[in-house]
Amino acid sequence: MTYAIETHQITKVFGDTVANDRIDLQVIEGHIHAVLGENGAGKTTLMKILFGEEQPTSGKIQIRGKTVMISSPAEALRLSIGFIHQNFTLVNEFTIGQNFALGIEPRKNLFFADYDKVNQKVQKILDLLDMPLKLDVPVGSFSVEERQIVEIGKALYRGAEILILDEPTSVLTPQKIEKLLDILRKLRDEGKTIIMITHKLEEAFSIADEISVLRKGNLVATLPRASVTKDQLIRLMVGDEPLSVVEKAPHQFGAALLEVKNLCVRSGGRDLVKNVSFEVHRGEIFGLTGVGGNGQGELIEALVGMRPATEGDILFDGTSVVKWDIRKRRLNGMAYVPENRVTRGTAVSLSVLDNLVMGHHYLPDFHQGLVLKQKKMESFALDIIKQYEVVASSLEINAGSLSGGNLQKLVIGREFSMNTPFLIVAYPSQGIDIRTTKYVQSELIRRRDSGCAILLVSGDLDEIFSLSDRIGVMYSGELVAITTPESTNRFELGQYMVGSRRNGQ
Amino acid sequence: MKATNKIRRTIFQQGLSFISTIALALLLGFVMLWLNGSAPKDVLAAAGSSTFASPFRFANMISRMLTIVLVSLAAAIPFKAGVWNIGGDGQLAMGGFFSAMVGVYVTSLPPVLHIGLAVLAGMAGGALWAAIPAYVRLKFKANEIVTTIMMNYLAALVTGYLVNYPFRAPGSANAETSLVQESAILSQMVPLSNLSTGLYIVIATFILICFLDWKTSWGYEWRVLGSNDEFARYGGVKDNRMRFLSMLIGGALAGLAGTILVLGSYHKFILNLGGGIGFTGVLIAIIAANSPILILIVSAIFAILSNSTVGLEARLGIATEFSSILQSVIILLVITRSNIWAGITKLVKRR
Ligand SMILES: Nc1ncnc2c1ncn2[C@@H]1O[C@H](COP(=O)(O)OP(=O)(O)OP(=O)(O)O)[C@@H](O)[C@H]1O
Ligand SMILES: [Mg+2]
Repeated sequence: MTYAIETHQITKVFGDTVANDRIDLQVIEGHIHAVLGENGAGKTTLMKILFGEEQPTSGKIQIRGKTVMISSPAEALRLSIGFIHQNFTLVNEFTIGQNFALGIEPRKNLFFADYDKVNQKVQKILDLLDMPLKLDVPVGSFSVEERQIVEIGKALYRGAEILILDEPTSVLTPQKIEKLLDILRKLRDEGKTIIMITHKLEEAFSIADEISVLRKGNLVATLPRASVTKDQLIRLMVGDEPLSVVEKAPHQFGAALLEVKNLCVRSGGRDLVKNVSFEVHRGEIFGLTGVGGNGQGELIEALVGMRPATEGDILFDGTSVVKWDIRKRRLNGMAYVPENRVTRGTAVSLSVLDNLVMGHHYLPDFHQGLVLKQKKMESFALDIIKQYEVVASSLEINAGSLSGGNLQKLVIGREFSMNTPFLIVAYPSQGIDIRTTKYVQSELIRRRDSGCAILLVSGDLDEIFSLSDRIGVMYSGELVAITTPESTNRFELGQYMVGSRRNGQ
Repeated sequence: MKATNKIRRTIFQQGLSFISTIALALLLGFVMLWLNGSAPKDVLAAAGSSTFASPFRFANMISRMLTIVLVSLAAAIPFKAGVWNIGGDGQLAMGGFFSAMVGVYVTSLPPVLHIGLAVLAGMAGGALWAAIPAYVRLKFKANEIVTTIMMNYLAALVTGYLVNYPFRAPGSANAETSLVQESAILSQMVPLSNLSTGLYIVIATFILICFLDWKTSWGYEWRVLGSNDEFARYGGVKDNRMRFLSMLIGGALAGLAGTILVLGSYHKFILNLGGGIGFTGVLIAIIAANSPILILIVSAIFAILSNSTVGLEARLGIATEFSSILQSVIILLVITRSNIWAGITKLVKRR
């Protein structure tokens, strides 16, 4: 038995985060190796190191027994390692052949690439993958799963013997997932070594020979598929320290402020949110959790109006809001701290001031007709900066020059100071220090106690557990469980999150 | 305060790099001409003479500049909101045509009213011509770069037909309308020149645009839309409505440029009224990073340059194309100026 890949004490540090902590991973040649772990466990980072996209802070890598330095993706390819990224890297306007040969085109003569030669090789690979695709159309015209498989073909074209796939199934429908898994099995039978990151236990179970689990940057175990149970894996993923609850007054149920009724969101032929119903009451923090990409994001977008609901209804204070635009929902009392502060929560090329007044600028206080009240906006912005301790040298500097934590405080400050009766807060403690996290948490509880309805979305079980009055778990677009912190535990939530259990089972 | 000093410094550096790049481009121009056998002294004299030698030449430069400023703003306002308006030429033509119609066929109005009506018609014509591609973009997601360019051709064809057939001046050998009524003429400000009292209209418009840009929620929302449209949407900006509005205003500005050419310079609508100036406007908007003040400066430079060609050709026999070459050099240098500056700083630091 030989190892295709062996890492020794691989460590990767980003600033204050230890993304990988002394990892010893062993991948057997000719096997499929699944890698599991919660969001942020360090899976992608480890794979990027193996592909030369990131350099380890310390540690050593062996490929087929030989110690190597993987300084770049080109070097990784030379070592016959291929990486299929979570997001696509194909040039949509190019054909399959043009994509595969991009940068390494064989020459017919001085000026022209020999695409006939390329296409012969491409055809062989497509036959191997059992994918009859047209060679003369741009890849942008293919479906998502076809492109996913073309990505695999590209790695094969470039001579990959070791294939690393980062959550390849997250964008596929269930039937297509089966097809992809079949292809991977076939490739294994051809002698390829495959590493596949996934959040779905089911997949790991159906395909892997070995399964590794990462938790908070550590490799907690590598186990042969045959000798492990799902429950064991869940425990490894979520850990078994007891969850702590933040001190807070007992839950005072008010009237339901937000009522979600059989909400469905469909996009690109996929059901992203399936028939979800729940309420958030005044004076309640409803914690919504799940592995990233199981429909939480789309659900929130539907609630705030950034994405149409395909079916179902959203009642806010008794009124249906599905037809309202974003501004109307905001004006009527919704505020939202988004998950991604850089792409959604701010405009990093604009000033701190411009970023702080967004959404406030159409409130009666801040404008007179078309004209914005500059002085008022400035003093308001300074207040937020002071209250939320945003470290910014002035209101005029670019928001992009703030550190991640300060940018997060800016977003939280802006949304909290709308003083709305309803707040959606997604991943609030992402990237902020402990002191600010504590402040944000106590602020959430203060608002809850004063009658605010709060929808807290987070993948961090500790955070969900310590703040929520009730907890909902989403898996594959469905709200599979609604429970309370008192009546559940880490393991059970883990089971809901990976889809091995539903409410009442 | 320390912070504001820092801002002042960055603005100063920005301005400095901008101005020095243009100076560098001009220097390059001199070197090119020198190699071609014209002494820098003569070049400067010849170029300067075509703008500064007499009041009417200077006035012509200003008149040229008015058109350039307007078409640049016509591109810059939609750019700010993240929409490409390459259709300045078409909007200018339609604006000019609409104002000519009011100028020629509406009679017996007092001058103020007549001019006001013609200006409104011109702006409406430009806005209308911009509204079509804007609507198509918002409704059908058709790329506005393509559609606005198409609208330019369409405007040329439509106005071409209109002034060749139904609205051709009786007895005229050229494709043009009759002269506008006396009451619709923007009077000449400097004898022998193209400069009309349209100057005041442009100044007022310029101030209004600056005000919109700096002080109002429109300007704010355009800015946000242009720099991160997802953030804008998230914050409740009515993105499509604001994009549409920015195109309407851009179109109206280009239409106004056409109007002033008709009412102030030609006193009639002629074919190819703008002479392709719309595209220059797009370039200037990019160079000036959509800032109205920088647009003013760059427009002045471009107006002087394009004026100079006349003198250079007459006195030194330098082909008029030279000014286009120089404009291209400026554009290249300004667009790559941050890289050039980084390179220079690196060199200096290494010393
Ligand atoms: N370039 C970077 N700079 C700073 N921190 C980073 C960087 N890349 C990753 N991290 C941090 O390292 C940790 C591990 O991230 P990684 O992307 O490896 O997680 P993951 O296991 O792939 O999670 P997911 O399941 O969400 O994809 C996270 O805390 C992340 O924020
Ligand atoms: Mg990842």
